[in-house]
Order: sequence, then structure tokens, then C-alpha cells
Amino acid sequence: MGAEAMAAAMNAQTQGHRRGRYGARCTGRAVVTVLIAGAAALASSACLGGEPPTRSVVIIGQDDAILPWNVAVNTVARTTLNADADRRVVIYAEDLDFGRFGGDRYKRQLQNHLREKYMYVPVGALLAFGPIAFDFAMNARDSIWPGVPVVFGAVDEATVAKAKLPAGFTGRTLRFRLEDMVRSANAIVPDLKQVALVGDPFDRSAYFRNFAMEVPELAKDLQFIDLTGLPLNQVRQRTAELPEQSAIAYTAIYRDGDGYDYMPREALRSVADVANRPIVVPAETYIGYGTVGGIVATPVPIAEDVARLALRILDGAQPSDFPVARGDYMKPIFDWRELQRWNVRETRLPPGSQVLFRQLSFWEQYRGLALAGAGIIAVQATLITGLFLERRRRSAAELEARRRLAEVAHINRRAGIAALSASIAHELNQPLGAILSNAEAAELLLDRQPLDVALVKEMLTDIRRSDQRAADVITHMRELLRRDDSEPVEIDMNDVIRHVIELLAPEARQRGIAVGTALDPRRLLVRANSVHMQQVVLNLALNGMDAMRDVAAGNRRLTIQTSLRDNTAVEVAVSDSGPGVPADILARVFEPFFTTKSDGIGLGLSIAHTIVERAGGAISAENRPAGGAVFRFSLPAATARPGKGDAGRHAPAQPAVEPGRPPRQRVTG
Amino acid sequence: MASGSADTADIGLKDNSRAWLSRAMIGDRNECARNRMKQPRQGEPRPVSAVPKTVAIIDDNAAVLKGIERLLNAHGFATRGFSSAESFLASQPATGIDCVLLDIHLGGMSGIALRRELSASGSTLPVIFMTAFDDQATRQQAQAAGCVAYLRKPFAGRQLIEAIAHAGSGR
Repeated sequence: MGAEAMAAAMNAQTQGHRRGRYGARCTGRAVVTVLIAGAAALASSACLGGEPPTRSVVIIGQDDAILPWNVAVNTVARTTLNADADRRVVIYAEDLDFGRFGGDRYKRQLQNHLREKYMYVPVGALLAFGPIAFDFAMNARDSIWPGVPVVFGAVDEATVAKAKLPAGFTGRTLRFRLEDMVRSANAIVPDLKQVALVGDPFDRSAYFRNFAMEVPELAKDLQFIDLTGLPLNQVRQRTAELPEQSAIAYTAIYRDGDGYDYMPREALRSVADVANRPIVVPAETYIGYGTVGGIVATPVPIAEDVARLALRILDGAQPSDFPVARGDYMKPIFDWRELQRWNVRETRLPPGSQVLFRQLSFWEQYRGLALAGAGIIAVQATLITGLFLERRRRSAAELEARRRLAEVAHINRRAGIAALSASIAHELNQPLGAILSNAEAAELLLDRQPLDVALVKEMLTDIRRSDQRAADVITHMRELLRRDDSEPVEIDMNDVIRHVIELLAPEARQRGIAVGTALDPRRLLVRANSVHMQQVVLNLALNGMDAMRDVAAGNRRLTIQTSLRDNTAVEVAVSDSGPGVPADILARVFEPFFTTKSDGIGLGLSIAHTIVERAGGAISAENRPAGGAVFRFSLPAATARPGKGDAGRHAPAQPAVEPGRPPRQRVTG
Repeated sequence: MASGSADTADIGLKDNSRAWLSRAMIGDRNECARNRMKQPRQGEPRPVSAVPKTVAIIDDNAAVLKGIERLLNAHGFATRGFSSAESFLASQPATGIDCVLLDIHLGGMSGIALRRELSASGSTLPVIFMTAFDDQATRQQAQAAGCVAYLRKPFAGRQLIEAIAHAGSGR
């Protein structure tokens, strides 16, 4: 998703430049056309006079363009439209966002605005994604883009069947059915009795407006728990205490019962954090966020098909050549990790199911780590088997746990970062501790009469979860082991920052964080490994972004500043508008295990610390008087001497530290 | 209340070697403290028979907290779990608790800071530290703050029970 979003951003940028040139030329020509022919209605096929026909389209999006689904659709549509580099298509985009800006008056205003905006802009086709965009195209096309062909996508077939399609409309429908979600839930939960419905009320929903019709029929076989339209905190409460033999069907929360607006995936994540039952979803973009998956709509083929139809129309085909048809967009896709969590055998899944996030390649690629992972699973197996078969084996299992742990800690040699072993140990000791306590408690309970089977079962479930947690830790580690250890060279710190900003931009946008830079205009040369420096800045920036989780939207700001101090040190400052670091832990934030985040692994800052120190620099954290925290690091400036310099060659004897700020002492040994 | 446990800690913690650890963990097997625990506290009537020792557990890892609570319950202790030092302090810790099992690396206020705060306010509650990150510095901090035992996660139930007995035996 990150890569896609970035591609979208870059694409949007280059598109912007191109639009500038192209737009100006065509506008002039269009004015002439209007004057001569007096036929503004022909704007669609403007740029007459022997020139090739205009290849330009407007993509109408129905809501916020940075929602993950929309990012995927827009990116793929743009890529497909411009697959032929010699015959570029000019792409304009309009996002309606009627969810937040509604009302007939606004719609009229928007319509008038768009009419003016596109008065002299030739447009060859409209691409409408989603039912709201579809409705809008139906109502407004003739007044804004008279006669321009419309290709729609991501609209439920029932919605299209009800509409009276005007001439020039074609597209690809899909089949959104509550029945499919129930089917997925049935595959996940044997003897499914209840399904909790979470999302906006169906009658207010765009994509899922037809679900309500299905409820009576489906309710014959199971019971629905209607949680649609509730305030999010109530949804969280209710979904945390659902009965067994139930599942959650999440459609989308754009606005909750208290009137707060959410990105549907943010709301989903907040529900998934607390839910005690598996969550099935109707869209691929929800997978990977604590949902088990389901029969989901896939944005990529939808966008491809719609864009291809539009291309054919730009090439001169008529919309009526392509009757409206249903595409093969609903695919059974599941999250392997969630299947493990809920103990679902893959044979239960619908035929042809795709299982994502399987950790197979990991086993193949990282044998050492895989062995350690297998070790932990072996410990678990040993513990459980020991529990039921032979109590005495418990102490052996403990020894085994210690031995395996030592093996895991051993892996850090590959990484070469001292911080890593401590963190691995800490992060693995927690779940191992939980596993051991639960296993021992269960052992004791087994001796009791009457036997509390439910409690023992609960303990075994928790043991499995802790085991999964340990496995996740190892998965995180592999990211950190993929390292570039090439020799330090002279690099411009400003370039490093620019690279990182590029990487961060999509994530920041998604979290509603404004990212700003204040870069020293000079070249800030340091001698370092570029990848390592990016890692440092990225870790500091992500730390700042995480710190702003609870800050009100609109007040989340991340600023990266560079400067040259006394011509001897290059300093980078990453500041956020979060709550700041509590004074009592300020001194400890660089310790390897240290984290205040419930889901954090406590490594980012300590790795930044290690890298900066190894490059002969210093790093520090402080709170800003105005609020928020600022993390700074400085490196010796590589004085760009003409000769083959020995500048800053590791030079640990003279770390560049500005006067008055002593190098930070490491807290741990 | 197991008064004088701080003295016990000081005796046990004179050196920072493993010897200290094993002494503290194996400790004194005398469980006489239970008798004292049976006395009902002021303003808090309790059933006279089978009054369990109550152990407060403070750990910000929910899975660990739940596991330890279950283990101690299975061993016949009453437990009160807290996910942070702050929530423990907010619960008026002086009442109804015989022993504190305290994780060192908590989000927010650390276990060490909580221990200091308790000492500063005159509390003599015996404290057992536990940590999933064991190193020299952590051990020294724990020692300096004062504790009756120091457990490294993952630890066996036997070690925990002995440490609690040791805490209760405060001479």
C-alpha cells in the first residue's frame, strides 16, 4: 500500500506539471473552437482542425482521495491510462466527498463550479468510481460535461439495475452481498450462530446500501446483532464481549453515532484492537489490519477494467459497443495470521481462496531466524504436550525455553547492533513469561475437582496468542536484519531528508499529519552510510508520528530541520506536536527495550542512537517550550576539501557536538 | 502489614551478584507471615476463615498480567492486577494488599519510580521486582530502590511463590 500510495503521489505530481502545459494550450484552442463553431457542447471532442483528438479524462472519486481504496483505484487507473508512453492521457481528478460536504445546495454549487471550471477544457471521457460518483455522473453530467461518455466502476449491480442509464453510460458492476460476508463468517466460525453488523447504517451507506434487503432472508438461519450507527466507543465495548459462535461483519464507518468522522480503516483498526471475535470484511484494502478477510472487492482489476474501457472510448469506440457487465472482482482472500489466531483450517475456506501474509518465504529466506521461531513453537508444543501427557517434562521445557532464547539472542551477531539482543530478549521474554504462567496455572487447575474446562481452554488460547506474539517479534526482526553495510561516503544530509520525506508522505497523509521541512540551503556534507542515515531520520520521524496519535486532527505537525553548526557539525532536528516526553523517561528513550507504546517494540530510537554513535555523532531528546518533543542528532561535517580528504573518517575522537551540549551518556551497559 | 520487610531487602541486597539473586529467590521458607495476614484489617471486615494473601501485580503487558494472576489464584492467593503504576497509586494501595509484584519497565511511571514513591510516602509494603530485560544496570536500580526479590521473566511459579513467602516472612 505504501508503495502504491507513493506512486500515486509522484504520479499526481508529474501529472500536475503536465496538466499545466497541456491545459493552457488546449484552453486557447478551445476558445477559438467555441468562437468559430459556437458549440461548447462539443468540448468533449475539442481541439479540432486536423489535430489528433483530445485524450483527456476526469476521474470522479466519491470521497476522500487518500482513503486506501481510493489510492489503489486512482493509482491503477492512472497507470493503466498512461501505459502507452507515446500516447499520454491528460488526467483531471474531482473528489466529491459528499459524506462530509452534503446537501442539495452544496451539490448545486459544486455543479456550477465544475461547469465553469471545465467550460473550455476538452474532456474525452469521465471515469466514475463508486455509487456516489455514479449517482453524481447520472445527475450532473449533462450540465457539466454534456455528451461526454461515462465509464463507471465499483458500483453494485443492484444499484445499476435500478438506475435508468442515459446514453453514453457504460461500466463494470460488482456484486456486493451481505450473503458473501455471512458465507465467509461461516467458513471461519464453525456452527456460526450470530453475526454482529458493524458499520454505517445500511440505508446511509453508499457501497452497502443494498444489504438491508438481504437481512430478512439471512436472518432465518442466524441472528444478527445490529451495531450499525452506534458511537464508536459503544461499538468497541460491544464487540469486545461477543458470545462464542459469532463473528463480526464490518462494512465501513465513515461517521459514527456521535457524528465523528473516521477513515473507515482507522475505525476498523480501533474495533479490531478490542474485538473478541473474528472480523470479516467486504474489501481487500481492509485485509492486514486485524481482519480475517472474506470474499472481498479488489480495487486493482476494477480500476484496470474501467481505465481500459475509457481508453477504447478515447480511441474512438462508442460506449454502446460495451454493454454494462459484471466483472470478476469479488475474490476470497484471507489473512493467514488471523486464520492461525482463530484456528481455522484452510480446507474450510471457499474454493480458490488466496491466503495472504503467509510466512513461508520467511522460512525459506531466513533459516537462522526460522530455526529460532521453530524453537519457540517447539517450546509451546512441549509445554502443551507436557501439560496433558507428562507433568514432569515441565522443567525440561523451561530449560528448552532458555536454550532457545539464547539461540535467538545469538542471532544478533548478524545484525551487529548490540541493542538488538536486549530487545529480542525483552520482547520474547514477555510472551514466554505469559506462556509459562498460564501453562503452570493450567497444570494446577487440572488437579482440581470439579475441573473448570472453560478456564483451562481460555488459558490454552492465551498461550497460543502469546506464541503468535513471539512469532511476530521475529518477523519484525527480519526487517532490521536486512541491512546495507557498505562503506560510509560523502552524502548531503538534505538529500537524506528528502528521500525520507518521500517515503513518509503517504503514511503521514493517511494519519492526517502535516509534514514540513526547513532545510539549510547549503550542501550539508557528512561522511556516512546513506541507508543508515535514512533509517535514523525515519525512526525519529515515525516516533514523532506515533507520539501524535492522540492529538486532535489538524494539530498533528511533524517538522524536520537541518542546519550547519559552526561549520563543523551538521544537525538534524525532528520535532512533533505531540504531548512531549514525560520528564522522568526523557533520559531513557534511547534505551533498547524502552517503549511506551502498547504495540511498540522499543527499537527505533535505540537503533537511531547506535547508528549515530557509530558514525561519530551524538543524539538527544528534549521537550520544546511550546509543546511537543524534538529529537536532534548531529554528525561531524565533512569539509569538502578538494584533495582526497580524510575528513571525518570515523573520527570517534572528535565527535561533533555543539558547545554547551555534552554528548549523551548511554544509560545501559 | 509485613513491617520491616525493607530491612530484609537490605540484608539480602548487600551485593549485586547472582548469589544475592538466589538467596533472595530461595529466601526463607518460613511462611509464618500467613498468620499475621489472617488478622482482619481496620475498617475492612473479612471472613475469618481462609483469608488469602492478596498480591498486587503491576504489569503493562496484559498477557503477562493475566497469566500471573491465574497462576497465583491457582496457588490460592487473591490478586489485584494493575496495568500501570499510576492506576495502582490511584487505587489507594495501602489497603488490603500484602505484597506488590512490580514490573520494572512500565509505560509511564516506571516500577523503580513507583518503588521510590512508595518509600517516600512511608509505605512498608514488600515489593518484588520482575523484568523481561535483565542487565547489570536494571539490577542495580532495583537493588538501590529496595526489594525483597528480583525475578527475571520468564520465571517458574516456584520462584514466585518463594519470593512471596519471603516477602511475608519479613523479620
